[in-house]
Amino acid sequence: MFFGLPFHTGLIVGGAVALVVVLLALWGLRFKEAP
Amino acid sequence: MADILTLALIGLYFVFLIGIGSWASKKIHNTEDYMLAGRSLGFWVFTILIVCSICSGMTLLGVSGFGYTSGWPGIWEQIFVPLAAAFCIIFFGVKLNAIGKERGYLTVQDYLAERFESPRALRGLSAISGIVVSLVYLVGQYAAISIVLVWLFGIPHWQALLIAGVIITAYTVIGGLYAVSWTTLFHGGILIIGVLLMAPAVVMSAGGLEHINTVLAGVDPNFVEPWFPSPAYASYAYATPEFLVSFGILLMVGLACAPHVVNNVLAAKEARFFKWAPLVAFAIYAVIMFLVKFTGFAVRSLVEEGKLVLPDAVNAQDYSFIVGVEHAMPSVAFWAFFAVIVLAAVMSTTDRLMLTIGTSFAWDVYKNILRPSASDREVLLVSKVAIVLGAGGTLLLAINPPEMLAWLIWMGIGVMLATFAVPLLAGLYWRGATAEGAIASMAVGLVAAVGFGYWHQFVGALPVHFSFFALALSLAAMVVVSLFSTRNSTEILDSTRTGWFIQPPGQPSRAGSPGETWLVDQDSSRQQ
Repeated sequence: MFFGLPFHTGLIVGGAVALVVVLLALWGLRFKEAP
Repeated sequence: MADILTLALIGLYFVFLIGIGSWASKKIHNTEDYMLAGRSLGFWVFTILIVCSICSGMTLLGVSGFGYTSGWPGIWEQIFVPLAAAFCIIFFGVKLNAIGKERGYLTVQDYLAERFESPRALRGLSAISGIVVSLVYLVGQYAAISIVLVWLFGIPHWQALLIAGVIITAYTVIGGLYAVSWTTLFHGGILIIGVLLMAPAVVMSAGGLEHINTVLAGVDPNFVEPWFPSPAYASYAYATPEFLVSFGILLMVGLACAPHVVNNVLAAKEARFFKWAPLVAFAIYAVIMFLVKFTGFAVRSLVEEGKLVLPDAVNAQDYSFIVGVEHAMPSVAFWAFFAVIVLAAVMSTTDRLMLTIGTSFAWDVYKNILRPSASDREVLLVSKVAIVLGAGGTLLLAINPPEMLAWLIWMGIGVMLATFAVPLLAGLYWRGATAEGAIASMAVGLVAAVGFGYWHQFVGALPVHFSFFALALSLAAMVVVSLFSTRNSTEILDSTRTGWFIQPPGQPSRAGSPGETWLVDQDSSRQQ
């Protein structure tokens, strides 16, 4: 159980948020700034 | 319900907004200053402007309402909507900001007109559909303002609308995007602090998240699942996997390409803002959205336990946030602050919509189609008059709202997606996209969105969001018509940085970079 939620619900929703954060962080790290 | 403190706080708040408008008016010397704040927006003003242009008053009221009726399967909205901000900045912002500075674009229609070499047809079609969609959306914003002011002051609906309408119109007309962006920064701060303070209090008053989820599972076990099973077995259980896919595209892409959102990317001062703005915008917005959704869950739990009763109204669930705060924080001081939060959310979208309507009409329709010889001063004046007329007209509509207002607002977002997404994305990323393809795509998307929206509402429910079919047809029209029509010139494609990249490989996104050589090479190899 995860805050009263079934484990799979917590995992899927939490995983989706984490995935988005990682992808946007990767975008930031790979962005090329003008010199 | 209002007392002296509430009146004083709201009064001060309005005076402050007009003050910002007056300060901003001194910075305006030409149309670029008025429409794009002189392309001077700093990182935080720009990022919060993008977030708050998307986050409206109906977002606050509607999100908690959706949480109330559908439970956790609706939680994907809290990821998709913040993603719209990130999507807009990454897929539209990086390129449009760079090209916009280089070519002097004031609106996205400027880009479409040049990229597709269609200075009148495509510009006119996109400007007019953008204005119509923004007007519909504006009526919805007024409805949210009215809910709050009527509840707070107990004044008649029309008085509430008139007060808010006059204030927002005043600072938008006099201060343009300078006023809109700086008031939005202020609104954004209030919104963030307010939601961070109030949502946890509502959740705690309902016994905490674990208890709330247990109560929700008792009402319907699927309320704590990540989605409802397909096919939908009840009117509230429409968030099935296939619906969520179409809903995700609608929110993420449709909101990102809405005229009042995407035009903001032209006003960012520096290209380097696009490095971290997507993550920051997503993080801020997601925290707000999750917390507001949790208040919807909390209120449902309180109602199920008989501790709270929603008002007897057709859209009772939209009062969840209001009723929840009232329950958790009985002090009137908090109510006043709460009213300011919702007003902040509404105003930050409303003012941007008004400005978009005014500038689209004055720049794209009046200056570029009807009267090309118009002076800068004349365009500014027309813009201000268009804002006043647009605000006044929608105010009248909001006083006597059409019965299908909610349907109209959803229709507006669906039309934004079906009309603008394909021409914009294809224009930026596909060198084969042509003017004829863009016009066909826009026209087919518009007609199909209205048709499928009508079908879904009045004939028979569709398994996915109606805009999904319209988007597919719009895409098909773009591809088929483009393949059978003449390509735009290589010169134009290069100068508008068209190609399958966000930043030119090996080069940063700035004007006149050697990355343009890569563009030419790419096109020549394709043509061979």
